[in-house]
Amino acid sequence: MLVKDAMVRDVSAIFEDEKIETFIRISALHLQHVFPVVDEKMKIIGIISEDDVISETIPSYFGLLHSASFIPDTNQMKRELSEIKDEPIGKFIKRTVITIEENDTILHAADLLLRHKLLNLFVVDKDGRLTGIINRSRILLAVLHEVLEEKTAQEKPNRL
Amino acid sequence: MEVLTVTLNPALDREIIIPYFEPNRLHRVFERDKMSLSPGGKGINVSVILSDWGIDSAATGFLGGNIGRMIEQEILSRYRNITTSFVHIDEESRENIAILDDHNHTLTEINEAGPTIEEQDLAHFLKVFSSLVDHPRVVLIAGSVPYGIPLDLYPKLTKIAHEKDTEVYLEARGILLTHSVSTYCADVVRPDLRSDTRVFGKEVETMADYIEAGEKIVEKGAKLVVSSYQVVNDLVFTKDGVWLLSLADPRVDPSHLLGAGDTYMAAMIYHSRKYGTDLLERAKFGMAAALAKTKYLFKKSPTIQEVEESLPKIQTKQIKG
Repeated sequence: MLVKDAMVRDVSAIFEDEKIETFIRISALHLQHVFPVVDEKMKIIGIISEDDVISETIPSYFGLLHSASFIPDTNQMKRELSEIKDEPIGKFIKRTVITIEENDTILHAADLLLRHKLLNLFVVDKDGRLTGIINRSRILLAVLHEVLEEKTAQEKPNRL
Repeated sequence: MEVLTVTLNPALDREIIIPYFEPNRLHRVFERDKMSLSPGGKGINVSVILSDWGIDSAATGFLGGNIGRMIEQEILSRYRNITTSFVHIDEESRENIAILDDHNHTLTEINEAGPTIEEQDLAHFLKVFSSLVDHPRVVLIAGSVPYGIPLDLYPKLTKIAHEKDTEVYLEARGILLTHSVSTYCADVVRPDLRSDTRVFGKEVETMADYIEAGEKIVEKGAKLVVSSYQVVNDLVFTKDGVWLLSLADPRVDPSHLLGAGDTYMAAMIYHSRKYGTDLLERAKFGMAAALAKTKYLFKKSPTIQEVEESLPKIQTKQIKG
């Protein structure tokens, strides 16, 4: 089974020069927490996730603490966000992107997702242009369909 | 991907078959197969038909709210040959309702106006369009524009596409049509005269009016103009002349006309991808497809074989040139 059999052909993307504010709006409207960042030829040059923005708005020592529950309010987050909301997302994106091609196997996709602890994997053509997205549930669904089909085929042996 | 379609104001299309439909009455629909729900709007419809014919396309435009997400999901789950790249906005996308009466043979359509587009979303769309248009050979821009879209957007998109050597097909009506072809004309133009018969500010009624309007669009830069004339005929304009395409048997059920115009556009694009550059043949193929579509009541693509079989039913008469 190949990636092209399980992927979603949506190429919603964002551009490097968009503001953080735009990214927050877009990801909320799309109900999607990570976006590919593309150039003017739809080639993927990075990714940006909600995590990247949230981590910019909370103090860096938070990572060392077990809990943030003793911090009384979100004032600091508000302050940080108002400072970065007009900055281009280009400053915050991850430029090393793990991508996959349509003719790669689903097994390879599953391996990449697990190995790199990803929720989504972006699919590109041979020129690096974005052609879609694949995630864990799409992979599981595609494999499940195949399992069910094989089962039905076994239950109904070919008649003479 | 070979084709990019632009639908600025997509819709969730609801088609309901109600025999003996009339206002001021309660109609109940009991059977599931008498109702259908599908993604719509002219550009999306063309993508769907092309997908049925095995041609890949990308669809872009604006989708709003939950209805918008539903439209996107419907496209992605049903059609493997369509890639989506819509700009999502806050306000809800529209719903279109078509009531087909298969007894009295009437078609009643109720089309909502749709959301208002904010400036920042329009700016984002322009970026998306510019990056998408880098790849395909054909762009189709069709349908109405939502509130908030400036009148010069279609010509602007056409110009961006031309900078990338991409052929542009346009279907629009009224002021939008007139303004678009006057400012920066697309390559293939089909005036949509269903609810607004003004072209260049003038009501078109007689054959002479139609010819004047068509020739003027060619003058503005279109290489092919097709215009429906008295429902079942078509007028075709190129720089080489004017032709009247008519049906050997002009009886067409008006309740089956839903989607015929979109099938026409899709078939012209299909023809240009598969059979090359002959413009009159391209228009005839479009008309044959529209005719083949009228076999079906619902919005449904005819097969290419059905289109080919309809070709001999079309009579061609050169009027000018």
